[in-house]
Amino acid sequence: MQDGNVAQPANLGRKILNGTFGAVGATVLLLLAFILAGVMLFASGSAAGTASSTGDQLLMDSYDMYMTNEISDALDGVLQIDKVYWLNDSNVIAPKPNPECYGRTSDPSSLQWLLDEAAPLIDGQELLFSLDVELYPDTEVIYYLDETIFCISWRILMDQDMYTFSEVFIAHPSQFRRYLADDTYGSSKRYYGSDMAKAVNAVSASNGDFYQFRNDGIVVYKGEVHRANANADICFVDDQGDLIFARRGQLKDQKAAEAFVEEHNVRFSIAFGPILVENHKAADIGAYPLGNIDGYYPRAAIGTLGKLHYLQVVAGYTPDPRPTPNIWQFAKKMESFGCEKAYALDGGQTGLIVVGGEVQNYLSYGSERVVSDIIYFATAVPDGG
Amino acid sequence: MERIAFIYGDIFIYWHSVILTCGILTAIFLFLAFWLDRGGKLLSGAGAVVVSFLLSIVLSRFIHWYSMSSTYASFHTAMTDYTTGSFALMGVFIGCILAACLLRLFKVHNKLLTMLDSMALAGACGIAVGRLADLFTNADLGMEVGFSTGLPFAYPVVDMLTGETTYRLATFMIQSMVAGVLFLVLMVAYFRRRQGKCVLPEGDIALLFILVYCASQALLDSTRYDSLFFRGNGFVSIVQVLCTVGVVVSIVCFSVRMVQNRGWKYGYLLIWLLIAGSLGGAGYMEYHVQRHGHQAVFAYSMMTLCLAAAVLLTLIIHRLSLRKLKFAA
Repeated sequence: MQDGNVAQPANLGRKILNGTFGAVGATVLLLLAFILAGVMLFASGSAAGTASSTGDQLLMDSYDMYMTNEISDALDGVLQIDKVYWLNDSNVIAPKPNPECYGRTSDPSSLQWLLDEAAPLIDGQELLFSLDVELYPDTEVIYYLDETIFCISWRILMDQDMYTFSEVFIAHPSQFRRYLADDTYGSSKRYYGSDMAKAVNAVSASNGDFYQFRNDGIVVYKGEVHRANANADICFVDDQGDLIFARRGQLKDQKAAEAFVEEHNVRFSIAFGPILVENHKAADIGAYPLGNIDGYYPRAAIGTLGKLHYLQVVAGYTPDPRPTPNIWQFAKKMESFGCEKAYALDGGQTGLIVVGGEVQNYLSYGSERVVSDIIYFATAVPDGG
Repeated sequence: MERIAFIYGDIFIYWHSVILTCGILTAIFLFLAFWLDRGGKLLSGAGAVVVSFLLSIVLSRFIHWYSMSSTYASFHTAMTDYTTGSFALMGVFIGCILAACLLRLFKVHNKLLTMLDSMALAGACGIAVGRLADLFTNADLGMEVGFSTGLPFAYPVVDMLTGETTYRLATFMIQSMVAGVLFLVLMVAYFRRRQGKCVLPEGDIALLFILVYCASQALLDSTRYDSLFFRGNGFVSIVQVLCTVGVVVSIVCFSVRMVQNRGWKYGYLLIWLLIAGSLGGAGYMEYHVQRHGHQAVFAYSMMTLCLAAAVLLTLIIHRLSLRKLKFAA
């Protein structure tokens, strides 16, 4: 038929055109796809958080410490020069504690010798720990003492709850440290608090603010502001080891936070709260967005009892669960312990105190949970000292 | 720690990149092979590859930025600088599905379900190969395992700070194995359909892949210590939620077809209730393991049983939905 005969060349032409176009188009697209895939070949993995030094500064810092202590040794018997040890925030891992400096006892009254030996660190300050403390049944006092740190941990029954304490004296502010998982702000990784404490050689550690769980608060790590949301009370720790508080809404943005950090030589911050005690008085706590403050959950806190004298507290369950304090009750307790300042940490199942690699408090649900950070105290005596 | 495969002067090529590229190329070739085999055009197939690639990169980066925004300077940096940062595999799934739908919308092809089937088969094999890449890095951060120090259960992961080696559950290896087995099973189904030995409607292979892969991934993601969580709630994993959505979508699709083909029967309610109970049980076990980490073995065993039950029941629904079609054929 004529129509069919006329149509054939056009159809054929269209097929050739489509086929050519299709082949060329497909080739170009596939080439593009292979190029994109090839880019992946040269995409290198990101280096995981490795400890990094500030180069010359770290070297000079270590040199200063070395020379000071060598001179002390050289002049021993001639001139009394106290050895001084300190840590640098760039050193992620603290020196390993000396296992022989740990001890434990179920008889607190036998520890007078310990307090006498720790006298240089205690420096006349009043301890919360007392020799006649009534320990929680079947628990022990655990302690660590070397030239630079004295830590004593014990548990008591108070208002039907188990209160776990770790009272710490340090020789240098740099021994009060913070560790974020993988030493990297924003790392997606989480670990058990006890594992992190062991990894960094903490003498005494507690949970921090679990910063990764939420976007609230100002997070400062190694002097750098990483997050600046003004919707939480913040506890800053400066280069003197002092706690400096900023109330919710006080530092409104990144610039304000950075200026504050620079002005006060802040090393790191904790972003949970609320502020529990200020100037020896329980704080006036209103509505607060974090921590279910009016609920009855295990509570955790860090407080100061004096200069370079700290108290880590967890008010938690006993094996026989009873109601735990709400935030106001907890603040009153921290005041009664003699804290000049105290700040609430993330509680609940997150709350824990680790001394010598062992979890001291009774954990909610009987198990740790993975977290993103801890705060801890470390010895400054170099490994093997 | 990244292991270097080749060095050319100043250029370092890592095993991770090599194997990942192999996985991508495997997926591309298999997709094109299956697509052409089912009567698709090369041009639309190639277009799907490119669009999927681009959408996958963008969406997987977006999901990672959403969860880990603190690791990026800004949203703009996250979405424009792809030389740093990380990606979420779930974004690849969404990117591919979106690409297929967009190309259908713009009439580049008219075989949406066939394309999804081809993508599913290719994706299964691509994941099986690509996941092996992380056996050469420290990225496989499953829970610590005390009962084994060797594959396929445990993999040595070196802590970059302490240098200590811990043996962790080899989640990526297990994921690779699951994807590999799934690929083989779906291939058998594909060829049986091709030979006319079974009636498997277009789109079923994709749904079956989503069902089984998402169920396995919901479990495996729970064992990881670097999951991506929703903002403002560090309990709920993005991957687990998306996987649950995938499983539910498969259940709904098969259920609708079953009712359409066989008519309504009250007995279906029992199956759906059992599925809901299984998924609920798996969800409860997820909560349980977050609270009682020391009972991980028990919790994950129960979660496995619950998810397996949900998958099996869904496969029964799928089988029931085919019966009418078989008789009609």
